[in-house]
Amino acid sequence: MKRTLHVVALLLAALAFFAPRLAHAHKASDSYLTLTPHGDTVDVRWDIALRDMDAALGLDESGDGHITWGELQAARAMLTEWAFAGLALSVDAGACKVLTGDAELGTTTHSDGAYATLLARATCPGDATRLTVKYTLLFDVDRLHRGVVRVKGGADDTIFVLQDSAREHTFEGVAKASPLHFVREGIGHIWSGIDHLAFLFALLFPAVFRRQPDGKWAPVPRLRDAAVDVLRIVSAFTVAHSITLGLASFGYVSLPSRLVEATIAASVVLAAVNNLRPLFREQRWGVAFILGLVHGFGFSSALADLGASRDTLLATLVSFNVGVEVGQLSLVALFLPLAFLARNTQAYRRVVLQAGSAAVALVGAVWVVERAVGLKFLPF
Amino acid sequence: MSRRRIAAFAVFATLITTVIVVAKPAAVNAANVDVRVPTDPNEILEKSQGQPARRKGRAAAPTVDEAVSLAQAEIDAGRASGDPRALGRAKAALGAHWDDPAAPASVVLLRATILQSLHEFERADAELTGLLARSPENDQARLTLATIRTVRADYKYAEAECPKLGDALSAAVCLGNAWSLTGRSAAAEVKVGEALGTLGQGGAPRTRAEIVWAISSLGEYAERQGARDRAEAYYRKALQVSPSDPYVLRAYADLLLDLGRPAEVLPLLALYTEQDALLLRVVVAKKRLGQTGAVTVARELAERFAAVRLRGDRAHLREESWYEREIVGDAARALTLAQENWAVQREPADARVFLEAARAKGDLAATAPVRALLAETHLEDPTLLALARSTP
Repeated sequence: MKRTLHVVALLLAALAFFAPRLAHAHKASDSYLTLTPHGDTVDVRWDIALRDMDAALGLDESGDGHITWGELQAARAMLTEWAFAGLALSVDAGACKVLTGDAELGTTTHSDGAYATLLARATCPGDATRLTVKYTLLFDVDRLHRGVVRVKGGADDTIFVLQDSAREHTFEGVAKASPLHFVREGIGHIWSGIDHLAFLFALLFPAVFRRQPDGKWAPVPRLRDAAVDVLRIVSAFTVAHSITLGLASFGYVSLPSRLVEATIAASVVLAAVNNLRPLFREQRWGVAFILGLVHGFGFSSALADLGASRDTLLATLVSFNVGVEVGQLSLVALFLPLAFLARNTQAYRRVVLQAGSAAVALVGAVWVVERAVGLKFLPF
Repeated sequence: MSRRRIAAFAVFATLITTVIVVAKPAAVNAANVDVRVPTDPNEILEKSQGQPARRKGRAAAPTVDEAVSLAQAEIDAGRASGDPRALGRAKAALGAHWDDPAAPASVVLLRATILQSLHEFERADAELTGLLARSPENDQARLTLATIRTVRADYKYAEAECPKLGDALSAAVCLGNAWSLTGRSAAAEVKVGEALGTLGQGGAPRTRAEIVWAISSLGEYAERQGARDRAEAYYRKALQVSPSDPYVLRAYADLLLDLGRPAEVLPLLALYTEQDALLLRVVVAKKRLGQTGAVTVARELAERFAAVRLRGDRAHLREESWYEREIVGDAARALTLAQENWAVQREPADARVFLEAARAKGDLAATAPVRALLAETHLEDPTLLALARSTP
């Protein structure tokens, strides 16, 4: 989630530069609460006006008449606690628990000015098909304040406005997370997971060549040869990560996530270096299988983050895995024809295969260090 | 290309398209694309209003007087800036007194003022009627009730009660408003003019708000007599006293639009576009001037209307009706909004949007309630009467 936020922040900063706005509207106070249930967890997005937070808590620590991002960040823990004290979510089986410690803070704009955005996750004791929202935020400061609550669930999208005189509402028939949802998450995980991308590309760069007995690369004559090679590699990778993803999701095996993440980074280095200096010869699918076992543990922690319901874990697992496959195949489909057309050029060989692999190896090496010692050097 | 290549190409293309369609929402986490995480801690996000007064005083429950003065301060600030958040804060400042049926007169008056500002005229009326039954000598309650009844086109109360007000200027404007809305604008202008003329001649000291209220009322009386030059002079004088008064700015902008001088509206309102009603006048002026920027500003206004509608507020109907008719061009929707607005308030401005919407839609039958009121009250306003005659 954080990674997406960074990318989006850059895009929006660029947009904001070109779109001057008028003075912000004078408007009565509203907060915008968006709840997205997945099984027994609920994704919470809450936009609260900085003016309202300021009136309730006092955010201008420096007293210069402005609220800065630094001041907002410094108050993060306090305002997260304050905000979620004004919200209670429950399902039929009991009260949900908002994981306020993991809440992320951002900022956005509505018609009446800047808002703080809190992104958090709630875990519930059962599926959130009937979700009750009890809302008490800000009524002590502004009795005309309203909470615009939106519950997203599959195709359904319901809005209910809570106010001082009506502070509670039960959203009925919130759709269960559809298998398609997890397919999408799987695809999204591949496309936005830069380490998986790096690994895949490291495997794909040489797919339009054959290794000669002397260790040099020669272009393949037909697209089908390249496709068959890639298919073999991707299938091996898939079978392998499906095994470990299943084992980890059902709780049979559990590895420390730092080890898993560092090993995934190491696999990226390995795959990239193999393009420069032959390490495994023609057994690249075997390597893909072994490395796939490691990546499966990585997928399982991503899946756990999505909050799959325990009752439907198998279906979720299959859906997510299908998504991962579709995500991979789509990259292959995008890349392979282009690579095939360019395979005879010096540019492909020098820039993509040699320099590209070297770059991936370098980045992967930094990741290994970062993840092994728990430090951060790269912005991604 | 060989057939096999074409087939392969087709397969790839289909696959890619499918994936892009299916994966798009997840790939960019579309729900949160507007959220950003600034990198510069010194980036200014918003103005601060300083340390919250309520937090300082939270240790002890405020007395009634403290609560009333805090609420009054919020209302005054809101009136000056046109910021509706002030009303909710005033309401919160009253705390438990808001629901107390035995609350003192000062609290009841504030409750009525807040309800009136929220266009909850019936509840405000009930509060004030109850208060006057208990303490008939309460002039503030009498004045506020007369104002509410006048807005609702009930002029009998004002005619009977305004003269009883102890303060001469308040009595004059209170009565003048009722007179002007029932065909006696010239007499109203004389009466309020006289009351204003005694200022500084040993009369009670006046707040700026009272003077602006009186002068801008004179402007309305002049407009209804068709004396637009005189009206303009009054509005300009009122703006000299209080340059940012939202009510006067709106009245003067409307006059300029009627006079066919939209170019002058833009500098007049440039600093006050945070108020939706004033932004509407800017949009209208830009559109009439054929400015290309009109579209952008209109979109901003539409967003604001949408946000207000989303929270369930209905206080914007008059402005929305005008917007739908002149900017969007949806006469049917404009008429529906004008009719809904007419159920709540019946000032000349409400009659105006109603008649304009009906004319745009070509629906004469719909205007019956407005025509009936115009006939009954003998309202003089030439613009309104011309519109009533020509509708559709």
